[in-house]
Amino acid sequence: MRSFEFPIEAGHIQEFKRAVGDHDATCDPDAVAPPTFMVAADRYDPDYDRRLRSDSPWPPVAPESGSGFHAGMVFQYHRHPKAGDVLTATVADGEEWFKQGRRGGQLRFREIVTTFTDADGQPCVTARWINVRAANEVRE
Amino acid sequence: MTPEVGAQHRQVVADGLTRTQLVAYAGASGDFHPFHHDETYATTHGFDRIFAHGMLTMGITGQALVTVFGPDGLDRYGADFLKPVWPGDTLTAEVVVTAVNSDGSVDVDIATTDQHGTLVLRGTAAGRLAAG
Repeated sequence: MRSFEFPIEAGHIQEFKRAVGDHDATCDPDAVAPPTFMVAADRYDPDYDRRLRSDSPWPPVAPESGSGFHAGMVFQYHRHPKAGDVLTATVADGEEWFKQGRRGGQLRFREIVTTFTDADGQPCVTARWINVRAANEVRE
Repeated sequence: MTPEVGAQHRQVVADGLTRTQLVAYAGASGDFHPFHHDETYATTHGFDRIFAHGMLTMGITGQALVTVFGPDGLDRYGADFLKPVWPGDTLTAEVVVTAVNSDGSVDVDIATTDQHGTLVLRGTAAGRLAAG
């Protein structure tokens, strides 16, 4: 388990809204974060690997490495974050399960759960990132 | 949308997705995986061209949910990424009420299809419908 701070900035919300199709979004100091905005916490995660880093080669994640693919995502909202909030993101491993794939092999699904709490320690959003990969790539 | 089982909302959420939007999303989200902006990398790893982040498709679909639930009415939003979404694709999201709960909230199914009718994202959500 690890944690980091995620400051919710009005300009970042504007940038994100424009990227997901609200191309004329303006910078609103009272803006409510759009439904999937919490994924942008990755910009503040010091361990996030889908970015340029001075200490490792680029690109760091090759498909042949067996890291799998992002298969789905679930957000549960306790309250909707707004510009000005400073959240704490806590990242932990979630559930793991196996399922038969359409091509006959077994697939391994794994959750990464990020819990966002506000400055008062109250829960804001819980995000579940679901990754999938072939089970034979991960079994000993 | 009315709080009745079967009530629907249909919205074009991307009208010809551009490569520029993929790059904008990489910057906004922080996800610079080269599959989503580096054509050479994508083609040398078995894809025809770059394709959208699954989370971009989910974010784009989220526009329809904001229309239905308002900016702060959602309690839950989950989705599975079923097929790649490519530059040039036009996406339509359909939101259908599947249950009306005793507290006034509703459950919905979400389906996002491309211009060929291919289902690219399937999901569910719950929350309170926006007024009006």
